[in-house]
Amino acid sequence: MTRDEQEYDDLPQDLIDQLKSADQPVSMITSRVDREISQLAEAHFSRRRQTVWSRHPAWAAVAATALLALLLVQLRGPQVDEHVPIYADLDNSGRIDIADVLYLARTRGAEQQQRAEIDAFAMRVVSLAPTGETS
Amino acid sequence: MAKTEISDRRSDADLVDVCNHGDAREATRAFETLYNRHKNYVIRVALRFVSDHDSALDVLQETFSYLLRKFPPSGKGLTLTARFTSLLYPVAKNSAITSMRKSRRFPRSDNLQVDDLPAKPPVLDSDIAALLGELSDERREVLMLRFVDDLSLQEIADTLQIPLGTVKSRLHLGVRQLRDSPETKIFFDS
Repeated sequence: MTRDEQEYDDLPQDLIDQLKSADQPVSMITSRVDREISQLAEAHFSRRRQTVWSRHPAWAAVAATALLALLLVQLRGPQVDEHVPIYADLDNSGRIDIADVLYLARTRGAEQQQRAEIDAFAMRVVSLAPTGETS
Repeated sequence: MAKTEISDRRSDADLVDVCNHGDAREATRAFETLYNRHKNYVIRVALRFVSDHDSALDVLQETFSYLLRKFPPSGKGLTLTARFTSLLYPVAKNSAITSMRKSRRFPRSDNLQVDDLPAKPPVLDSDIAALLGELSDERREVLMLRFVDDLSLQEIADTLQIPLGTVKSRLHLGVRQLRDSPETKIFFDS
């Protein structure tokens, strides 16, 4: 307490005690009143749409990156091993035929270099006996 | 309400921070803790101005409804720069005065200001009325804030939005009046 405050703070303690005692309210706040306030608060804050991810943005970023990576892998589809010779039973049908050429075309895309390889494969298929056996 | 509020030891400032930034569940719990911690204080303040318990409960609900609106769903919210009770007092007081006006206990006047109080409070506990009945409303209010609510002089000035000098003056004159009053003189003589 500062000296200034002490100068004015000169009510006798007995009087202060009486004032404090007289100021105490009787119990009137019922559980119903408490519930009403609680419901008000709940309704008010329910408009606040925060999720656990917004409270942990670092984890949210990791999860989003992982999900994106997974989606990209799914979209790319199965990849053909580029070391497989361009004369093979790619579709596991039991024989090497035009269907394998078509399979290669679907998976390798339309780049010019790859198209040349596909064409070469196609020529080999049609130049062989009707049923090409797998090696 | 969950009983955990009773043992919640977070400061009022921390609870306000959660109300500002926490998710819906955390903010609700923090607000409930603030309510449980300060509801009796608001009722005490209300009863200094209103005449009945129902009105005091209305003041309680109005005060905390007002406080709720200070915490928007998003945005900065409330900044606590002083005691939480310093924030509650003027809200409860103004709500009580509004309630008194509505109850038509006092003549209507377009000139009636929020600070216009009756010469004597409508109802005070008979003990307080006996002790403080002769004081003006302004002096009684400052004395109650100082000696019952334990506010510093500066806190009283901030709460009532009046100069510190005015607080000192009202306090000094109020104490002197009690010292001279037959009902309270006995306390000073002992």
